Amino acid sequence: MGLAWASRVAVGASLGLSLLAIASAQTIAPLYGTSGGQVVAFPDNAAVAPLNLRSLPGWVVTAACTAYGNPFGLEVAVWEDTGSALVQKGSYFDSSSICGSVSVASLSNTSTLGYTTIVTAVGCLWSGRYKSLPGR
Amino acid sequence: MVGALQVTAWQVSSSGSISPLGTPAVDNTVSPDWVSVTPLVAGSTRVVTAVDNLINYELKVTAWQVPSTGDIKALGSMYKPNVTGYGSITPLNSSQVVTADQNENASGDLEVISWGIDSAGKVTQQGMVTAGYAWNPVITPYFLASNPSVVTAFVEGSGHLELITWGVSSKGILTRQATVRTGSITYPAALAFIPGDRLPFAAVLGGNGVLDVEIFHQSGLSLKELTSYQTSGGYWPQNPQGAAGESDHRVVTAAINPNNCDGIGDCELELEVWYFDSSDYTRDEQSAFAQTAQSVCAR
Repeated sequence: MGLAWASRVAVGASLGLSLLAIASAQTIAPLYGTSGGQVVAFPDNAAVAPLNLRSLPGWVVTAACTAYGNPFGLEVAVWEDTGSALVQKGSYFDSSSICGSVSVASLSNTSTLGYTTIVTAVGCLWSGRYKSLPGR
Repeated sequence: MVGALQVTAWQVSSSGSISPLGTPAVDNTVSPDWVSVTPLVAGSTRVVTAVDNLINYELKVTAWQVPSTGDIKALGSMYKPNVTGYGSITPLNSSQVVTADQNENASGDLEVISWGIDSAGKVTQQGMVTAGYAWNPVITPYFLASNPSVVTAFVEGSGHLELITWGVSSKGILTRQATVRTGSITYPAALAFIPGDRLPFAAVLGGNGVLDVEIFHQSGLSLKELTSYQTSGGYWPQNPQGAAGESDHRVVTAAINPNNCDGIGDCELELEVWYFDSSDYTRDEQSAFAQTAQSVCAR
């Protein structure tokens, strides 16, 4: 089951545009994404940071609130943006007792050129097994 | 609940696998409700965290050294009292970071604070400015020409998304530049900077409950919305918190999709790549939704 993203982007331009019309043609639209994917139990603590694929291997740092005995864990994942899809390259579940907010930062030199690697950090209520879900 | 701050280093291999590196650093003197971390500069071995401490309602900013072993060490820190709500931190240069938070006072004002980080990692508060009520403020760098700036986004008192750009001097003096207010939103605000386009980008939960992404542009002291896009189909992202400028024309958002839950509270994390088209040609959305199998946190 995928997201019900709008299937088309509203565009307001045609050939022979005026300057005003050209300005109005600037659009932001979803290209691609994930669905049927990573399941998280605590919906208040997702974070994402860019990495430069060409800089790998690289480092990232997460900061998280922890509290003894809290059932939440922290899952970090690495995604490659191929230019047409987001492909998960790796992930790791840290069973530390995450209790709330998480944040992630890349220590790699980022670039404004080319496709990148993305790192996400999310809180998960449960550790344990991993499973595969179909994409969209 | 009394908690602590945990800062962990991770190594990403050439193949993209990720694993913890060294021993995480733990700060037991704070019980954070929110945490935010940023590298001091790209490629730096130092990071800076900002957390609110629920025990004393204060903001704590800490500089950390991240050695190659991953054994993270605290260098210096400083507190700012009377802080509540959500906040975030952004880098400015190799010796300055800027935070945005909500003051604990009755008016819930936005506070933007510049911090100096010296070569030893000592943290000092440099400057601070305030604005009106600001719920869930977020901040990102915003470089106009050679002038280092930051932009804040938050929900203002009447429920609208508001962005303010701020100039920051080398001594940390903050100068308000431009302001824009857009439509009603119910949840702010992930904020990022599109590197190639040099434009701030906000992802918010719109007033109608769908994910709304907006791109802004500043010319002189005029800040305006260039374009926006609202998802459709009843997608209620509970937390469009993650956003990152990825490359030219592209940003990534991360949000929870509660529509795709299993009935017992587990919901999916949705990542989406967005393309900003600044040209004048007509194009269709590239609905390339191919996706490989992914790991999940699951029972």
